[in-house]
Amino acid sequence: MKILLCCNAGMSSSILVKKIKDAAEKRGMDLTITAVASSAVKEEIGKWDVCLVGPQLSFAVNNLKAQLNIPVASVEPRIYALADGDKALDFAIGLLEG
Amino acid sequence: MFSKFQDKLMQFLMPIANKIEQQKHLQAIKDGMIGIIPIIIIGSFSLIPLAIANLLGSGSVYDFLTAHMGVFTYACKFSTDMLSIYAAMFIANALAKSYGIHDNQTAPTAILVHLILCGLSIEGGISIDYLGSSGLFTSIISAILTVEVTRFMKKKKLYIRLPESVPMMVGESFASLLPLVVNVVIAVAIANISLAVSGDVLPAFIMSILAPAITTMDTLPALLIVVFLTQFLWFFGLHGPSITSAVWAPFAIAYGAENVANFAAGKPVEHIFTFGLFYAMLQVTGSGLTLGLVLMMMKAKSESLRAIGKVAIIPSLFGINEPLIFGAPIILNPYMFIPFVFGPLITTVTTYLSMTSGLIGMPIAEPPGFLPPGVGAFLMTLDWKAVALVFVNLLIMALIYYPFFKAMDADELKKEQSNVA
Repeated sequence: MKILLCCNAGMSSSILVKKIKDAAEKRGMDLTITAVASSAVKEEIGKWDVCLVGPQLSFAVNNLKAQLNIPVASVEPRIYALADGDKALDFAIGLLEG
Repeated sequence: MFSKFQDKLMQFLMPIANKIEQQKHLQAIKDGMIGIIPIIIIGSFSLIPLAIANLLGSGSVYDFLTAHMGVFTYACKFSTDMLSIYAAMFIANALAKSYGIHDNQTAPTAILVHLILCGLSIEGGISIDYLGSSGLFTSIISAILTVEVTRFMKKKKLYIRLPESVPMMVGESFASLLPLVVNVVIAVAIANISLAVSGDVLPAFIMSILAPAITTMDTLPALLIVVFLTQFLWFFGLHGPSITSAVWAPFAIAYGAENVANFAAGKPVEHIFTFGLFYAMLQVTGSGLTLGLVLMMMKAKSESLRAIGKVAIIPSLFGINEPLIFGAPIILNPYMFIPFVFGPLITTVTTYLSMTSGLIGMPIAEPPGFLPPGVGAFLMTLDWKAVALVFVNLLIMALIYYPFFKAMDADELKKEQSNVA
């Protein structure tokens, strides 16, 4: 599974990257994940299965969806704040399947 | 009642934020302008020896530095003094990509167009007077013009078509020739019309039109509006600076570049509202200057606030406070509305007045982002008093947050206890 994380500068979402990676490792999942700034998303078209967005950019979800053409959704604020890798991973899997 | 009001406001704010996000030109200008910041930072670093020499005033180190100043500030000539060339390239790149144009012709074409629009032919060469910060607004025009002309021609399929037997590479180089020719012809025409009509090069003409806006943006009321809107949007969970900077970033970056150039040339440094000022002082440790709040939360009585405080502290030190904003949460939290939205206006006033009164140094350089509190302010002003002001501001904000934090903590504790019982 390939997850793209996106926030304004790619900084705050990079905190979550490591946590999601750890969660996937524990489950023995094959996962590729990275965090980018929303302005750099243009470089990422066609490379990812699903895109999670920082809640601060929830207003940009539709725009990102149109660019990436994959499921895009903003992470629940509390999960994002606490960098809860497990829940964020579940959310991404749910997004891809549903 | 509060939540009903919030819902209404949210319905109003989301579409606006969305519109700004989807406005391709605004985003390209913002992304392109932010793209040149590293180049301004390089130019800034090459000025540190000059600043040290100014501080010393005499002595052997001073003599050494002044004797070799040409070497130390050499990079400045090709970074900040030619900044608008890079801006034209970055903006054109960003805009072209958002249109899905992926050829490697567009950015060089934008540079060429920009040089034609800005370069003033002089005896035996070209003048670089308008290639620095004073050409930045023109670089927006150069980039947008180039990309739009190219896009129009691609859409209308206006390019030279060769028979299919011609090798692909040859065909492609021919295909890109026509947009290049048209762009150059338009640029030459605009440059010469500007010279003939206004008697000056295009950048000078544009700067004279923009003069009112340029002076207005660099005032206390403008700064207060920007800070207020930034905080207000954040309160609703929308990334404040990301949205507001679409408007102010071009100005702030132009101001910063002009300050760097003036400092290098020994001229007075005039602008306050630079990109560095916004992040290293007005939004230090994250929007809302929340470091004090995070420290209080680490000692909170309620468990949930204490947990967030611990998660939020390290990112806070590097100017990232999303964990706090979404965790506490600050968004849509009635306790936090007053201190978070209005408190930073007070520290904006203290910062602005400290600079205009000469109490602390002006922003003479552009610092890198995401630095611990005080470090960015020091690199920006090379004045320790600016560092002191950062901590005074953080203290002021901590005092403003304190009573509201106490109320929030008590409320949270009550909730936790009633959950247990």
